[in-house]
Amino acid sequence: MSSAAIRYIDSVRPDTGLYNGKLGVWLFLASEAMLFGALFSTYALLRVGAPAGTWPVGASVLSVPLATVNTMFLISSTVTMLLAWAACKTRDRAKFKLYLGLTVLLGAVFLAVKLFEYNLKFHHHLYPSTNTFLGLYFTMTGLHGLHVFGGIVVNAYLWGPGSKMWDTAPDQFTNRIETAGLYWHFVDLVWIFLFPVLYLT
Amino acid sequence: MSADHTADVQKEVRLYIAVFAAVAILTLANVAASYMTSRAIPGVTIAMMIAAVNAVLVARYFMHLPSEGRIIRMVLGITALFFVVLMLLIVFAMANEQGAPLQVPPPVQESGHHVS
Repeated sequence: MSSAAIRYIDSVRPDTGLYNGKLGVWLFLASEAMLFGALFSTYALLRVGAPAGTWPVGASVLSVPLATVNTMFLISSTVTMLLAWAACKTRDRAKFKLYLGLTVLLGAVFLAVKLFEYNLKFHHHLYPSTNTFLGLYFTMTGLHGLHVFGGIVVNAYLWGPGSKMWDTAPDQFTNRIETAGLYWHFVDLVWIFLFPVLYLT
Repeated sequence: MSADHTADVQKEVRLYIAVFAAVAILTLANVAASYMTSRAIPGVTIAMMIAAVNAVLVARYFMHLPSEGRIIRMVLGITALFFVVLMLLIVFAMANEQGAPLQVPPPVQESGHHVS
């Protein structure tokens, strides 16, 4: 190994007990939790502070059936991400390609449905400026959508050009899939709370 | 690659699919519960409880949180603490305003007097 090489990318660093990429992604996820936490806190503060009877029930403004189906797409993509990681561990390239490809596809379908929902709202002249609820709805789901888009880009890279590492550095590649998976599960975790907060209550 | 390793991974995969089924069923249960109104337990409480169970399942089985090292648990513990503080802001605001909407102070003129 040359002196310029970054160490502990495929082996555990003794002092942290993790490889560097995993520690990095967990620290990133902690900061992301605070970002979304601030938005959830804002939502709760504005909802509690709203005059009685003025806060709309999510289902009266938003489509619950559409969002339920979309939630299923996102949850399914979380499982296919795990199956892609499992395929890496068993060195089954065909299954890896299939499951990571499905993850990208399901993520893209989730975003497409979200854009369709936005379009429906705009068609009915419901904009972020219409009321506080819609302002929060567009802000929170928009930020979440950007995270989904980011995850799709990373997963698509790992499925395509990034998968060259499958042959050259298989352990490092498996670790990359694991860290990309951690991010993708976090995106799912955020939606698990966004869905009931915005649509069901 | 040993047969034992492959068998272990296949066992993990079965667990992932079982957890996925549980999360999907709980999500549908959450939707169903939102259509049932109860005076005893507010809808928000039920929805958040089901979402919390789902979140625990994802964090435990998909993100393998219990098997992570001390440093990760420490980082996430600090994050959770700050998250609780963020949520407590609502309680502080309610205690301060005693339930009244937040008041915006009137604009101040250049002379320093409030506009009536």
